[in-house]
Amino acid sequence: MGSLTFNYNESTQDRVGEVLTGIRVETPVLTNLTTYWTNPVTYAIFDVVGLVKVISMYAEITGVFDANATTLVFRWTGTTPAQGIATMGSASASMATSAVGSRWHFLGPGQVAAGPSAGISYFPAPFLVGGKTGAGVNCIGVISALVAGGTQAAAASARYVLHYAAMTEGAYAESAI
Amino acid sequence: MKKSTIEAVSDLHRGLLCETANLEATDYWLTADRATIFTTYGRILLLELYGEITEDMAGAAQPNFAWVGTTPVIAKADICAVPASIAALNTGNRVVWPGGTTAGTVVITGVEYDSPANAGVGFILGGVTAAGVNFVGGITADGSVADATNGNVRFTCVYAPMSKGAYVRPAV
Repeated sequence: MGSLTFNYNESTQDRVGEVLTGIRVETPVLTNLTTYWTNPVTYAIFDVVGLVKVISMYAEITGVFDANATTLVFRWTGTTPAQGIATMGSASASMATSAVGSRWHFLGPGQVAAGPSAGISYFPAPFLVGGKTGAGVNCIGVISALVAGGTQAAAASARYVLHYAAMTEGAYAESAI
Repeated sequence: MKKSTIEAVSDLHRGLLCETANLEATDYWLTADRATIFTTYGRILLLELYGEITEDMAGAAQPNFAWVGTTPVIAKADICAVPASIAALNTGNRVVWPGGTTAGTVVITGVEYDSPANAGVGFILGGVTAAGVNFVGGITADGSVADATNGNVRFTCVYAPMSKGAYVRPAV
């Protein structure tokens, strides 16, 4: 049998993971089709205070998607100061028949894309959202999801996951759900 | 600096590291896909994955790596593309997962004990069920084309946990 360099406690393993991949926040598993998986609903998924570096953000499929061509767009809205809804990238391809374990990643301005297969996905390039005012006050904003096409009618569900790093003093992100 | 501190700082810088035992290449790099070398629990970011040759190779094997879900069951999928034959690799050469995309070719360039590392982005492997239970899966060492007929190899996996309680451990 092989070996581990260290046999850390689980909590230490988790901290090492956060050092390397950012602080992780997750929404609950979203199962309500009307609220979360019906075109064209939009809903806040993460509240953001200050400037944060989005290291990785994705929807992880927990209940298989049916054949309807649901697409997903991530958006940013500034609350304080007010800033209109802005898309963070173009819509994903169809999420139809996504299997449990599939991840739909936000890949920066380009798009939202699926990993190559269930359980395997690529780690994206980072992205900055939020900011700090001239007076040094952290901005407040929201990352939201828009179901841009196709309504799920069966048993679709997913959770959103954000891995981030704070870029201004006091910055953080948390689940909005 | 104490050895333990150097190792802890290294874990923070390059990720958590685990390695298999020293294995017979003839048991792993065969024409047919073979065996799990690392077991993954939960969602992990794969940062480095390579096999270091510990005895000169023979046989025109063309290896690759894959990930397979055990719980839940998810079909095995390659995480890279096969390189040319590794028959000429010697002790100290490495067979390196390239990262980037699953179309990336396994890197077998370099000289003994001097090889490129993963140059592409890492992959996120595994996941978490709707009930919050970490997936269990395996990273496999696979072969193709021809069997290795001689050689030993030790595999190394470097990763970062991405879900609560996630980790990787050697399966062999």
